[in-house]
Amino acid sequence: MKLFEALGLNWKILIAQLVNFGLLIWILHKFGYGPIIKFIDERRKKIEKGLENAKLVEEKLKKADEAEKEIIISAKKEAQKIVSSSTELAQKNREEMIKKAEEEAQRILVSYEKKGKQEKDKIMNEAKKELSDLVIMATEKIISKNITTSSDREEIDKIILEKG
Amino acid sequence: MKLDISLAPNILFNLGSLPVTNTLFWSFILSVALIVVTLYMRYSLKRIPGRWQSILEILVEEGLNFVESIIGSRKKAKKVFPLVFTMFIFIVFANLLTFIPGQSALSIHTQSGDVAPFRAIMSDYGMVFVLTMISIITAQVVAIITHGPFGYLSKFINLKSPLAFVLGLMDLIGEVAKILSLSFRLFGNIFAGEVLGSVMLFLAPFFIPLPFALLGLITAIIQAFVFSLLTLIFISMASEMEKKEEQSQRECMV
Repeated sequence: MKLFEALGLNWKILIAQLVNFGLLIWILHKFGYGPIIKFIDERRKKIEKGLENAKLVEEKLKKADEAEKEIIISAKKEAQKIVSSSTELAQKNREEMIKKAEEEAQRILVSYEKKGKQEKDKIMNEAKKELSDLVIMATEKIISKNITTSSDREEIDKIILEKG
Repeated sequence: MKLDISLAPNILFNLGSLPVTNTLFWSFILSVALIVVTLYMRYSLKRIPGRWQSILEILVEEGLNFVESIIGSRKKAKKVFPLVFTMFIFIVFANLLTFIPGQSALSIHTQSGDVAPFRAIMSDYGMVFVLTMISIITAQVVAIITHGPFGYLSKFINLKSPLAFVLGLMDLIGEVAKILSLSFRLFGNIFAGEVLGSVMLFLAPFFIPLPFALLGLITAIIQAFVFSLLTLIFISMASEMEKKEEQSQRECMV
């Protein structure tokens, strides 16, 4: 094969080249492209995940915002309710208290009136009794004679009562 | 000054029974350099990339995306990528290595006369042939895996009709022709560039060789790209038979 000779083809050299190139591919793949591609893929995944997370967070934030608003609104409503109910209650209490106080006042007034009247009656009675005693004493002195009989006494009492 | 052009690479020394040619020697050196750089890079990879790592990542990612755009799926692309990308890097640096100045000024005295210690790696047909065989055999293996051994054979030996039989034979010839076209495209371009460069340097050493050197620089990158792209296309063609016609059209365009 003159052509092979002219081209310098030698099977030993060819095998050496083949081994050389095969080794080169293997090493470059194992230590070069492999790790780089892995890195790139990992980074891409990370970025994708990050973007997804960001989206998720944004959504959550939006939801949280809505929830916040809702909570605030409901809290306001609640507060309104509490204020109005407490105002009502206070109103009611006040009215009740006033009413009670009025009643109490009335009661006290009534009881004092009654007491006063009783006192007056009592004093009057005592005064009448004393007066009747005085009258009897005076009459005794005047007529110098003891009036002991009950019919007389009754007669006198009757007279005083009629007059007083 | 003597103009020395030889089709075959020169033997620098013998390593046991293995004759080490200048191209083999430089391909070893290049491989070691690439491996060292790769290893260094591997252990300086950081989660937050620096400038160099960013450049490398962009290169690898865009390369992978490109492979994916041709072969169709990322899974397939990840499998083919190491082969194709290594081919590209290896051929590019092999071609660019000749642009380190001062190479052709040196010669080494050996038993077979004075030889140049530097020679473009791809101007050795043996090296290109090895790469071509790797490319073609990988494509055939992928085809066998995709279609099964019988499906693969029936592509070439088809007895359904006389026309199909002839087309099958044409396919067979086409596969063989791929080896030649793929290998001689790269080899021819680089070898011709070398010869042209040295002739120009011989005829007019100042300024005149510059445009040719620039042309050579462009060729160096384009041929590396074409070679790896064709490998990629062969493999993707083998991995899907349905879109064959479309793919071969693309091949014709390249």
